[in-house]
Amino acid sequence: MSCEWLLVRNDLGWWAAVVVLLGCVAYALHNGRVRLDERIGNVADAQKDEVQRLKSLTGLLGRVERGEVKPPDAPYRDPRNAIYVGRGQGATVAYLPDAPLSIAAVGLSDLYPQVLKISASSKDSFLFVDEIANPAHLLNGGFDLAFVLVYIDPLLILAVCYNVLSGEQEQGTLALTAASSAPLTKVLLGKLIVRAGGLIVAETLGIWAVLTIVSPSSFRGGGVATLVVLTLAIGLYGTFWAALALLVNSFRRDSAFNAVALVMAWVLLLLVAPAAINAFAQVRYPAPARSEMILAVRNAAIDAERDRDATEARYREEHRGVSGLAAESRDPISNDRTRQTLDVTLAADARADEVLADQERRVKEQRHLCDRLAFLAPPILFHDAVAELAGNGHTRWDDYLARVGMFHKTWKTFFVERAKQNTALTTTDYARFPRFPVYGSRFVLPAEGRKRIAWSLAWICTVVAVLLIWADRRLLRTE
Amino acid sequence: MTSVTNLPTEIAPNPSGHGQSTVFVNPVMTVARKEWLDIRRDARWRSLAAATLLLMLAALASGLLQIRRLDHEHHVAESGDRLVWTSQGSKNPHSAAHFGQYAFKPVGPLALADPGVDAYVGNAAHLEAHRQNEVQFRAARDATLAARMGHLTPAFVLQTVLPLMAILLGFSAFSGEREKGTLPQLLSLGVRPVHLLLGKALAGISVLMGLLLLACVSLAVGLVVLAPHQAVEPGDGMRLAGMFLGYVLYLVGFLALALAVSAQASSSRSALVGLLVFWLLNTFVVPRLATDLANEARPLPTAQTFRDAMAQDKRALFGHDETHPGFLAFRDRVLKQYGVRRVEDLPVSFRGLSLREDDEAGYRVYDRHFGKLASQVERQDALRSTPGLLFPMLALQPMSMAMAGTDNRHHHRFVQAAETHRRLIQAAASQDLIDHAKNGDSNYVAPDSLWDQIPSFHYQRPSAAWAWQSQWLNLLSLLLWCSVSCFLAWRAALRPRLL
Repeated sequence: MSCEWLLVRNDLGWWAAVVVLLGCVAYALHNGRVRLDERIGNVADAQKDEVQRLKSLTGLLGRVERGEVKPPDAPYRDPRNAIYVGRGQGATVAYLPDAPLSIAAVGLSDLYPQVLKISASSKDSFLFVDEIANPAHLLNGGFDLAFVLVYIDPLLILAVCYNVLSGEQEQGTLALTAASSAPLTKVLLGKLIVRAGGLIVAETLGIWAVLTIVSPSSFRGGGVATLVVLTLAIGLYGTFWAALALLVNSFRRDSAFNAVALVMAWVLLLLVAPAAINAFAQVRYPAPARSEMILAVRNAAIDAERDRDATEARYREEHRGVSGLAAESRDPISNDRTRQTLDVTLAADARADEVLADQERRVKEQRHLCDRLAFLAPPILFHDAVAELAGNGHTRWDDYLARVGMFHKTWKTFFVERAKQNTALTTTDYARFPRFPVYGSRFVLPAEGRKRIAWSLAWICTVVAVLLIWADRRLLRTE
Repeated sequence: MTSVTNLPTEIAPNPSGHGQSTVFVNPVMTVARKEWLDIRRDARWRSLAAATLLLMLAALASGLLQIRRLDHEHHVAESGDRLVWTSQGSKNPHSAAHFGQYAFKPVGPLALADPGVDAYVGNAAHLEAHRQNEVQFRAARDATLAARMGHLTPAFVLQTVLPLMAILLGFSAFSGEREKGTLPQLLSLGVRPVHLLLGKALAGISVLMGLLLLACVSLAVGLVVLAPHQAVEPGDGMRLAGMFLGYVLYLVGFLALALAVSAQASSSRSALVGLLVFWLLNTFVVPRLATDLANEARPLPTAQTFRDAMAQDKRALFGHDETHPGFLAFRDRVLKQYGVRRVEDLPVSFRGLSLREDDEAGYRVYDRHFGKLASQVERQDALRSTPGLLFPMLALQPMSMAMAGTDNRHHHRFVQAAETHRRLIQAAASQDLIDHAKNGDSNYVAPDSLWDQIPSFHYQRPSAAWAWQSQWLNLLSLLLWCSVSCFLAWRAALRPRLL
């Protein structure tokens, strides 16, 4: 290893690889910082908007309660009307805070909305509201650390390791190397440790150093532990590619063959395999048509309106000539329109929940199949692990949406119960509006996420062991 | 200087000495035939070509299944929404306008070749009163994280895998001959370096074009299979031609670049490394860098900022607020126009008139904001394509998507069409109120036959000419890229490195 280090130290190519990698890491983390700052700004803007809306509503409510102004004629403008406030102007903000290492990977954060305005309407009315983004940019993705680690890192490792044996052969130094007392595999491993290991160590130190400068908060709230796991994952992934380079070298072909073979392996594992797995999963378990949910909710709304109209017609028939009906329908809280809105809300929500639950089950079927097939391509597992560690993988977002679902029930109950009882909202009620539970200051990945990462890293470890054993056997046979 | 492309070369006099006749051989075709023979005999090439073809066919097959499913879902959604709309029963027209219709985005047949941004733009927009809603339900949200690593589509194979083949076909064209010691021998026989270049280029192009043509034929077959379910239009042929042209320029440019590098590189290995670095930069790194730079240089507003800006402008509208100064001014204008003193005396429904007036003022606000957003997206796209001359992926990708009808511009066209239909619904609802509702009567309901008269949304795809028109700059970039690569190859081949 020390001899190899002496050689590598004077190899401009190796240093060029280190510089390129560090440059990419710095740029990617800078991009991550810019992205996170924007997200922090978004959350602040949404919270400010909520404060302003509530201020406007409570201001008007106060004036109505004090008799300074008449209540608005339109029920949807009346701050005392529970169902309209809950469905509209009173909507509260829920958000998923960024994890300490969110700077490292965009993951799903550009597809799922970080900030949601929870209202008493059916879930489909707010769950699918997207952040503004250029679709072509979403298609191509940005330059984040995950991209550097998953795509660029392997290429640079392959670039410095592709000729670990063939280079010796072509330079005529193989006989000298093989003449040493150590087994050839051990010698080659020593070379790989210096070439690839040096690159990985430089990269890791670079990540830690740049994070210290651009994102010191990444070390707080559980960030250090996450960073340690990320470092381990980077080491394992780099070792996988180095082991692959060793295996290809064990076929004793020339450097050009090795280079082409390893590039083809990169293309197969990073481009073809994920694309093929996704295509298969989509065919086997197609994604649900969200239009089913739209139609279900709209049908429920129509049915509720019809039921309401029929009930009122019956009521009028049975209470013909009763003057109290006219008085009641003028009450802004319990008037016909409010009651209809309430009925439609309840009916649409029940139907939306049913359809959404079925659709989520179908989405998860596709995802489970992809997860099972991902073991064929370690880069997919590594990509997933990085996204999970960054808090932008499926498990954290699923957890967030589940919390949103539970909170939506609480929020809706608060307003629907008051609407059913024809109770007007008061200033006290406004102070008691349910609030979306704030995440703790310490980042805790859901158990499912931890399990996924553990399995992914364990599998990569297994594949590395298999590759090394296979390469060793081949080298022994051909020695 | 005489052209060397077609002139036969006198190789040698007839060795028997009788008749003094000479055998003329076309050196370019000879070199091409020899290269073609080498490729055909090389098991690695056969495997690679077979694997590429298999990948393309798999991409087409999965794309076909996907499109047929999406198309079926679209038809079900459209007819389902029509049924919902027409089943509303007698209802106040303005309530019906609030209930609205849905516009579902259809999937075009050429999305089979390149689905573009379709998974990232949503496919349903609620067309309701007083609001222009954004299109929702991005399909990408339902996909796995690994889907961000790549989609198996013909565009993926053509944009990513075939350039690799071009590199492998060309990287050792000259350097390989040099390393084997055959290059000086060939040149000493009188074969001009340019003959070598053209012969090798011809062989390489025939392999690449063969694969590309197979892709196009398979795509055409796919379109025929889709035809009973999808509206395949005559203009789709022009779009397919545009795609074909783009990919030809792209791949020929890559091959020429590989030959140029091979002629001047010190070894096959360094040629291969250099070309692979370029391929990596072109296919993965630069598109992402360009995305980030475009985002930084021309950032889009956040959803909150966008809605706040619209809400600010909408404060000038009176909506349903009968105390708003704008409402009062409008009322006075209408009373004057009809020569009456009270709203009750108007011959038409004032509510209908005020709704129509408010809608039209609202349209101006929405046109301004949504139009500005669309322009910002277009400017980002234009900026992103700017380095297309140096990195052709940045020119090819938008061109391919535009020809397939799956780029941002086509999506914006759908958004505009949906909004036009929304306005049609509002106009019909308001007109019915104007004509039939009585002033002071808040219980007016329109008969359910009104809903049958208001059509459902039906999207008509823009013409091929419209798609071509937006891509002339990208086409020019690709043309220049191909021309520059060919020029570099020619210059490099004029004096190839011999040692």
